[in-house]
Amino acid sequence: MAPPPPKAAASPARAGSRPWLRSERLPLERVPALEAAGLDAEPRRGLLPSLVPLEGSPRAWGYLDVETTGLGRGAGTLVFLVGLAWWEEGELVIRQHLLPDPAEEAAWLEGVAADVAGQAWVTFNGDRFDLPLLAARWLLSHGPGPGPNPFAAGREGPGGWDLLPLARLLWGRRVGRSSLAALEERVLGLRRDGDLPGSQAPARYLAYLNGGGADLLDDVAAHNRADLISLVALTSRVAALLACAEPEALPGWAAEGLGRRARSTREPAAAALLARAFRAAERPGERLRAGRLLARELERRRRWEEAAAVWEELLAVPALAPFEAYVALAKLYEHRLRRPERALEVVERARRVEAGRRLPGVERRLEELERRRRRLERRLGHQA
Amino acid sequence: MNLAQLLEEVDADPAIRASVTAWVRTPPREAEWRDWPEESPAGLRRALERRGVRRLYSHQLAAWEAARQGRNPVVVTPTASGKTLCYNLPVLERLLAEPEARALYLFPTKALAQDQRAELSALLEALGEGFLADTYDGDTPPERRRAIRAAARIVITNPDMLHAAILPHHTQWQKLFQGLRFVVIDELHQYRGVFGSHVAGVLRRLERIARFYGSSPQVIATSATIGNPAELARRLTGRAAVAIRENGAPQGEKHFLFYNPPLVDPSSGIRRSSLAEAEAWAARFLRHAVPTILFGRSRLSVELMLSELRRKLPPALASRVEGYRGGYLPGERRRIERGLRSGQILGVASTNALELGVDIGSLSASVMAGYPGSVASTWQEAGRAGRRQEPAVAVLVAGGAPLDQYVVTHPEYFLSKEPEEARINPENLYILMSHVQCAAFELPFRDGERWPGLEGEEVDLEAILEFLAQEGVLRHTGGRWYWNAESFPANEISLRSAAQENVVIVDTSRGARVIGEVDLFSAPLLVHEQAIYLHGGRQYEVTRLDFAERKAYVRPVEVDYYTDADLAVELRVTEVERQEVLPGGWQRAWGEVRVVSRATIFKKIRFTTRENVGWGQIHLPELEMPSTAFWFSLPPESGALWPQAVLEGGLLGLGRLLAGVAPLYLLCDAHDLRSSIQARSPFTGRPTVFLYESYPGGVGLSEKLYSLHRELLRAAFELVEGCPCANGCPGCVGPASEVGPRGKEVARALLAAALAGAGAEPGEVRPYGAS
Ligand SMILES: [Zn+2]
Repeated sequence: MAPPPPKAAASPARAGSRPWLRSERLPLERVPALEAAGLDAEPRRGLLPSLVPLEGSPRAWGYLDVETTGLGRGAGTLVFLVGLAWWEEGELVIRQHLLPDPAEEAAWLEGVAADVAGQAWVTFNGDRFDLPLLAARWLLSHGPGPGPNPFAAGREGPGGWDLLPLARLLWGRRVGRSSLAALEERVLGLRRDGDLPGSQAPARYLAYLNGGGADLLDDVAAHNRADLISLVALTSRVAALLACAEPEALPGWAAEGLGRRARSTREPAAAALLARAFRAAERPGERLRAGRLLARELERRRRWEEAAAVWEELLAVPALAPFEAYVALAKLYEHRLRRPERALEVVERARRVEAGRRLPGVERRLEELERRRRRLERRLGHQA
Repeated sequence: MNLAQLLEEVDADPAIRASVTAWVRTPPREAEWRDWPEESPAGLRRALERRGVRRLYSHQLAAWEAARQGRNPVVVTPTASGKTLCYNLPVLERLLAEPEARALYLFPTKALAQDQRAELSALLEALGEGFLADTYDGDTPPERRRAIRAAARIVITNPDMLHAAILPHHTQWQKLFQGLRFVVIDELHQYRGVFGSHVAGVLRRLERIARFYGSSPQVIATSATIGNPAELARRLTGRAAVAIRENGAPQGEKHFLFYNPPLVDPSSGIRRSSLAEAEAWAARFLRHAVPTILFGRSRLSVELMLSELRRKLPPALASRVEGYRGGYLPGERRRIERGLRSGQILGVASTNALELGVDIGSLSASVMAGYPGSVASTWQEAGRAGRRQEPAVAVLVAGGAPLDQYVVTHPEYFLSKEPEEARINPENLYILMSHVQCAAFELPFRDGERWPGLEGEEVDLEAILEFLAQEGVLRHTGGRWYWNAESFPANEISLRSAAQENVVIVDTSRGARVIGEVDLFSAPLLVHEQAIYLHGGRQYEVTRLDFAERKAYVRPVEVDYYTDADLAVELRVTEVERQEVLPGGWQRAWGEVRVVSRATIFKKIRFTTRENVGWGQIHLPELEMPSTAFWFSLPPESGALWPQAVLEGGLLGLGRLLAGVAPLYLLCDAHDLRSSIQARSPFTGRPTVFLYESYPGGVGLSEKLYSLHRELLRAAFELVEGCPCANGCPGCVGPASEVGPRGKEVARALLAAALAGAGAEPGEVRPYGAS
């Protein structure tokens, strides 16, 4: 693994007496909630390389999070703090660039760009927020001239990884919200004491600009630092999960999210991931969801016998058996497995169950089953 | 019987002829063709030929050539004259020549933008270059938005969207702004008053952002006939514009009839209902299968005329007559528009919704129930009837209001008159302040930066920036002015109203649905309790006004009256912009005023007859509003000529006459201007009539009234002189119950004296100007 490139010592005009550039080195063991095994995991070599835009392992990547003067991405929203972190000799280096004054923005951004250059950056919602905003700030302060924009998306270079979509995939259903704060609490088990809510950061910066002391920004910097550390920890977890070569080693919830994604991108790992999710499901709802996806995936792969077996399993408790499973199973037996007598038997079972539980729409379902029954009987009579 | 024969029959009917005050015939006109320019792109020419366009009308070529010379043309043409080619030709030529070139099309409404997209798409398909042109508005789905930002060569949108979604996010529109070569403004005449003043701010911001990206787009505008198209374009965009007034499209013979419903009671001035008379005209045309549009001034009048028309016509015809207005769903409107174009629908009763550039093809007869309020609107409504080969007719049926009566009794005046001028005031401080904030958000101002004003003057931008910095909204550092707040200024600013604060109108009939808003200063007049509020052509009654919360609760109703509130007004002059002493000791002036107003009572007035059918008290607090006013003072000795009460009645009548005829000269609604009188003004020391603007800060009407004072006086005099009533009626100074038994007499005497003083003969009439 190549060591990270040396960082230029970016120093805005007034650095020195005031903490415009805050640097810190944090030993690995003092990074909370870190999954040490994940640091050197290489997720692109794992089950789902298409989910991982970066080569290498979390130890080689940088982490970026910005604070702004507003939530919108309008041209009047300033970036006033860029927090960066990366690993160096077993320590997490944290570097925070604070904007002393909007009038210094152009030079300040050049300092930030020097620090950012040549590194791949992990963000949380950075594709839609942090990076476009930085690109817009560069455009506004440097004009639309021909030179390259160091923050523009799709640039040549090592690229980046926005963890938000993946976090949604993995934890969305379990955590409900996929904000960094929610994940931090529910996934990493971290709690922040006395943290300044991120929504108050803009007001703090404006208060500072309007004559308040620079110490107003300490809380904002602390908040940004905590965000960066959570991002680092979260990345170690994600990398460990994705680097896994064996679906059986994954927790059921992770297998389901990844399997769902693999199925939508038609990757071969989908069946194994969904099978893992199906077997490891803890709750009936999870089991049902994973089972349906698994059976459909097996059908797509023309693994008819296995698909039938999964549908059969979903029918184990008749009162809670999904109608879709009866129909799918009957079709499998009739058209793929050439066992119309089994198909007829499944239809009969379904009719009993549907007539018994009488859900809304039962009439339509019974009619559909009746048509299927008549056709199967004709066909069986023909054979006889 | 065809239309020509039908008109002959009408001409021969003495009963009808007695009420026709003028009948103007315009002979047919041939098309003015021009050949396709030699050096034009062959692909563009082939695409148009495929769509049936082999030659160009003279105005299309003129617009194209002006654009090629780098000028900013404003094309003034009636509907159905091929106006869209006036901008599509130069734009497409440029897009073909320059791969990075882009254009922005602005339409006042979403519906018009959609129409244009459909037409443009067909042309682009014939062109076959794969140019992307699409609408960008509130309905555009997110994934589509990304594609448009990245790749659209023509972005079609409205000013509200440009203001709130595109300009504040200009860094996402880099390609559009870097390549921006043309800004197309369709329906230019819609941009007037408060809305126009706001749009002027938006366009200055657009220009500023384009400059940041190194581009400087030309403007191509199209407008209905107004008095000052080039001036309006210049005021809106801050760039010199050239008007193209010729119209090369062919036209059949046209008839324009002015019709005044007969008097029922001469002494009170009450006439037969203009609705019934207009509907009878429409029925006369429709019975002979003449395609007809019937314009009403409100949704209610449209519905009344429609149901009566359907009742009278034989069923086979009745089923081919439809209504059309703002409240109809888009699908319904499209169906009616198609039906009219194809001829399946023979007749339509409409509010002024069909005045806009909606494509309904050309009809043969247009009947207007009531004066549309301006010469410009009248020509637009009349212009809905007009075919390239066959004859067409327009009938203006006058209502009872002063303006209606003036126009119908002075048709020669109407016909000789240039259409009104559309006024905007981009220097209105309230509006300007809004856009300076938005502009600072979009790009920090530099020290010494300028904001283009009117007539080439510069607005004192620095004073505004300093003020905003004092208030903490901006921050001045390093030679620039930065946005200094968390908020997003465009969200706080609606282009369709001037006041920062509005009263929201909530329909409580189905849940609580916000249907609109009125500005704070108009609220006591428009949405007091029991007021009838017209919105989207529909009537609502205000059930409760929570003034502190700025909310008016309404429910839909169907009534045959409207409400009119009285304001007790105290007006104080704060700054005189210009003033002049006229011969005879009269004075005119305009300037800034503060208006303290309190709504006192309201009256319920029947639509058809303008009778007073009820009244009530209004209990609301006083409001103070800065505005601009035009005022006119009598010589000091005139105070002694009559007892004070008599003089006041005369002044009241004079104020009402002047406010009533002012829309003859300005494109404004009746409620944009109000009159107020002072029998002995503390400011001028004389009896004075003020006409002040109802929007905070004014939108430029007062200045124009000042320069027009002689025309105003003459029109007012002619109106009162020609009115057959004995001593006041709703058609002139107002009823005697309001202005007193001598109100009309005194108003008339004052006007005669003022005109003598102003150097014009009271009786002088302009030359007959019928085409
Ligand atoms: Zn009268």
